[in-house]
Amino acid sequence: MNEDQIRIMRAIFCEELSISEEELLDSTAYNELEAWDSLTHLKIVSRIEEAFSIELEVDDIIGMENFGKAKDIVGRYIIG
Amino acid sequence: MNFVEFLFASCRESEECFISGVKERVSHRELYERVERTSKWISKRYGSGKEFLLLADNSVFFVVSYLSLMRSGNIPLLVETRVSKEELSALMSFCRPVGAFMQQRLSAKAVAGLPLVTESDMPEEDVEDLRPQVGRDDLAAVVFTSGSTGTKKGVMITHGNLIANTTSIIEYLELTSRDRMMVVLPFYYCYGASLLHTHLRVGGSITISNSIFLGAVLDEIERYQCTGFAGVPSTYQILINRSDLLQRRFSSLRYMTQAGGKLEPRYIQMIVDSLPNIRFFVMYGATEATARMSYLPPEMVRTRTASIGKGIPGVHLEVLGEDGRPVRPGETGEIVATGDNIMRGYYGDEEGTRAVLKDGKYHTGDLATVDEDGYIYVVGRAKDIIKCAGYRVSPYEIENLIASMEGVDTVAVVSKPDEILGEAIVAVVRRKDGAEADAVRTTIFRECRRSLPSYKNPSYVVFLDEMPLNSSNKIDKVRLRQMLAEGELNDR
Repeated sequence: MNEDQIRIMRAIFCEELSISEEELLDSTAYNELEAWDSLTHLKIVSRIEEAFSIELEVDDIIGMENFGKAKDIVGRYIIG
Repeated sequence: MNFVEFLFASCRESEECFISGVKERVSHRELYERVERTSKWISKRYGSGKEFLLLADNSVFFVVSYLSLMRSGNIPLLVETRVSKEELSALMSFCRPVGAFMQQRLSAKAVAGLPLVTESDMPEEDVEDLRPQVGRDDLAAVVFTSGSTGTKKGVMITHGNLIANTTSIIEYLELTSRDRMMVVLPFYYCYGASLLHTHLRVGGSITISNSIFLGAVLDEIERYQCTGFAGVPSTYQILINRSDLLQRRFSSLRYMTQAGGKLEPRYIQMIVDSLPNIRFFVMYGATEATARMSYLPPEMVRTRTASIGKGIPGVHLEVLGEDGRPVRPGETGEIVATGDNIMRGYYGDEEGTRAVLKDGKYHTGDLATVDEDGYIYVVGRAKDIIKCAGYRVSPYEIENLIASMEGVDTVAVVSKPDEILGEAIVAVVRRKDGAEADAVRTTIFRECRRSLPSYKNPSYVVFLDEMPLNSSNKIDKVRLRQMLAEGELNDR
């Protein structure tokens, strides 16, 4: 993932989770933040798919349980 | 009879698994022992007839707390876990709780002055039994659900209500001890709770799934060999649109149920076409009726696809016109229910209770027609409520929040059909002079995300110059929904 792509990912997560750039860490995880519930997760997934014109597989949507993993998973789609 | 004794009547010595899932597992006997121990402990410490907040996700902790409170003759106050700390405090100051059973994870929402019981506080040893006898008419639980004014209403359910509804549901779904339900719906919601009740009563079992993404449930149904699955419209829409549900073959699943709002017939069609061996039950209910009021026999799902069926055993369901008489086929009236499952009333709200309980009948506020054979078709709601992702959402609360934002002159919140959410929330806004569309939209999205749980967030913000008004000079929401459907509202 290049810097532009990471910036897009960060913006989506910060907006949907209502947190600042500083608060978003690679370790920021599902269920640790009240705002990151399964419905928000689906919104994040839709926005990522739209932003990068990709379609995430079920197992990958399940795997994106923290921001770091989400970057790794989405990165594979962009390179592929 | 105490509802919890009724639930454990036949299966309390069984070593068979009752709750399974990725995180936890407990047998019937073990659950019974934990409920016995905990309910005695509660009685000794607090007595009976007291109210307790219960705030927890689906877990063994929820089940043990919930059943123990009722078993000891106390009353759990059930609230959705996404409630804000402020709203929860306000709600509790309206009730008389003496304690709170709360998952550690949610303890940041603890209410000042309420002693907290979390997972680690549950008793390990037996104390003497001081539990009182509880009758059918005694209050068993208060379930908080969104009302149309934005404040939550506490639905008062008795032991008798729960026994009646559980018995009816078991009968028409033909549940047995061989049944295992895959549970994705929360137990604090009446539909989720009914899954727990019915499967405990028949000596069956449940599997709890709390995955980050609903799509995970398909593998889990197979892994745990579930025989049943229950969802609200958005559950099925998410699975159809975002997973391979329709291509799956399940080795154990015998039926699916759907309630909690209208699932569009085309989705029902897709499911029954793709999964012909799985019986699909369309159902209708309300917290005010404990859970269930009607079902459509699966054999009719193809011929009467848009129908909610007829009353379940023990529930008399009719559609009444304004004159109080049953409507003729094709006419529209209100769905009215009679049965032992109808709530005692709303907590601390006699006026609200009188508005819906008349002559022992529950007036649902749902508008419907009937066909020649008496099958009921819901056509609308008299109350201003949106059902987003299975949750009841009051537009009023969101309107109040948005109305105070910069650049907003007037706002009306309505819904439109959505592929994923069932109904998506739309904020229709008249801007103040000079306010820019993009800036206003950004503010609304940002502030709503900050203040509201995910399911109350608008998916769309659209603008217009003049709100349409109805004959009583209020914003005409029917017209707004029409304008949305016809693409007359835009994002500028």
